[in-house]
Amino acid sequence: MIKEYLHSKSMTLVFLGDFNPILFQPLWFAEKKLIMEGEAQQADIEILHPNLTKFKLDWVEFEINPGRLEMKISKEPFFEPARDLIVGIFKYLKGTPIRSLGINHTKNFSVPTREMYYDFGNKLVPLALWSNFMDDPRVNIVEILEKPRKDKLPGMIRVRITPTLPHLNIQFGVSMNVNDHYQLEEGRKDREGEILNTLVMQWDYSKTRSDEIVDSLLEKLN
Amino acid sequence: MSSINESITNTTTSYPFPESENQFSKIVDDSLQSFIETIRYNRISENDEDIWKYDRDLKVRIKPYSFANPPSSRKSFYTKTQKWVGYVTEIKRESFNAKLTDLTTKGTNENTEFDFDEITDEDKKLIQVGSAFYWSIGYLHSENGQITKESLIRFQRAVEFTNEDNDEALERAQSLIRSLKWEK
Repeated sequence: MIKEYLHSKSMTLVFLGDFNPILFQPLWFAEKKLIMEGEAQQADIEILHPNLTKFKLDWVEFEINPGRLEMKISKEPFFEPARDLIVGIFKYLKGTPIRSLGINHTKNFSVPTREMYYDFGNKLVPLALWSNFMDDPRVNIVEILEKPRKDKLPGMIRVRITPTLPHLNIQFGVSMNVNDHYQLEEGRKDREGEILNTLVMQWDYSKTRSDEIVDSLLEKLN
Repeated sequence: MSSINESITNTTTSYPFPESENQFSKIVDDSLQSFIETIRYNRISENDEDIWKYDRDLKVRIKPYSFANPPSSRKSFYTKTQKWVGYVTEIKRESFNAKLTDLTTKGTNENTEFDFDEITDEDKKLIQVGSAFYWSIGYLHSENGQITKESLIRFQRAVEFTNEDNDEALERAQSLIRSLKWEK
């Protein structure tokens, strides 16, 4: 059963809104005591620009453009510190309009054999449908949406199944990403940190539901 | 099937960042051109990896990569991680006691003692009764392929509440109370 071959987890937090990318700088984070000074000094800065900021700390990657802020956390121990960091940042940048939030939970599985790997794809999307007109068809990306959400919150759930990214160095890797997407109700403006409250309030629930989705699907495919 | 409009509001992880890649390339191209001119006229060695260029016109700062040592595409990650959140309950001379809640398997609490030696100097300043920290153990897979068993403690850096925040919270609570309708 693929569930037994869990390799690693990663998380991405995505915010859509109106941002000023140049404000997001590691030294500013350290000055506000949101990260360690040493971390800021060792930050790997790719670009600081009014239209695009991109840098890495040891445990989180930031990319910010005027409409989107994305934080990638590939080290599991730092999921909670990343949440605290972004809440702290926006506590200082009060009034930043944020319209949507995506809490992305990714689980990577290292499937032991080529046969199991192929079989997994074949169960997800029956490949017999394609075999008349394609030679040796393979599944690459599968994406499923739940909209509206079962919990009635404004937003959607998006599950994406892909091969794992190359940096993980897994020969037969399956990556399952659950995008827990929240947004403001139509016509509402985020002036009271509503989206950030959602991040804090939904944090545990989001993880639990993501685990349930992945586990239930894998159970069914067993 | 989903409608095409959904892609506009997509908050799924991007692999890598397609929306900004073109923008990034243009900014870097412009900066690189300016950087090459700096090397040409100031005779700075192009092999010096520590050179940082700040271009005041473009307001871009880039770290030039050496062609001999391109940036690694590998990232470090953890496997078999167990995580707890802890709250300091008592501070002793060389250690502190804490109440731990398991974040991996919910619902279990434990009390444990930690030596100050396990805490970074910067985090030692944050230790006080009631302060929160995250503790995890797991296998760190480094970028160079090395695997090490790690225990990691990091104190929470939370922004303190101001009087203004308290007033706002109070106002919201009162507004919520006003909106409640009691059944008779």
